[in-house]
Amino acid sequence: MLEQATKLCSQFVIWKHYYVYVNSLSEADSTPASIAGASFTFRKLPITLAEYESVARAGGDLREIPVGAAPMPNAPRTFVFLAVSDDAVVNVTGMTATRSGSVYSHIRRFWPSVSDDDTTLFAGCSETAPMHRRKGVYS
Amino acid sequence: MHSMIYAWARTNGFARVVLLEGEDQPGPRKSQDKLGSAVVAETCHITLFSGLRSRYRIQLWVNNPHLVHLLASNGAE
Repeated sequence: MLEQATKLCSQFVIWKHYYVYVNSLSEADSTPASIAGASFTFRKLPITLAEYESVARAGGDLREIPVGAAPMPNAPRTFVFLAVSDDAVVNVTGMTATRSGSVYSHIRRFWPSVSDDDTTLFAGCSETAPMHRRKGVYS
Repeated sequence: MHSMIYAWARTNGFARVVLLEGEDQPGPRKSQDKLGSAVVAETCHITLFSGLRSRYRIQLWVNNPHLVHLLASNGAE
């Protein structure tokens, strides 16, 4: 009975608990670790974080998105970081300097104690290829 | 990956990185602890009418700590 009630309830409401982290980069090593056998590159793309996540979660190749002919003054600034090994993407992680168009525009008021400006990056999803999971690639 | 990104961000003029991690992601959360990240807020994402088409759903982000912990203690999803 309770199980049926819970199942019925899940048709109407779903909730998920999240934590907001801030890394002040003070401990970021100037000579970072590397991922064995993989090269690290990044691309600056004129897309929102939501657009990046849509492509990344669908398994799309972020290397194929055009950078854009000329930088537009109000275009989103999203950075896509890629670890590539044997021409295959090991991990893709996106971060944006443009809060608008991301989930953070809805929740930014939840941590008023930390200021942010043009020097803040907002993280998007980090996708690791299945065969490389549980190898510490995320870290 | 994140240690490399943080190093890149630091050397490219960025001062901080903000991340949203779900409770169901213990690996990334543990990694963030090791990388020196601090939790500054907790929130719950609530979807009402989840069984309906996406355009009919209502999505809310909750900041009330009592409600967040009440929902968290009653299991996510």
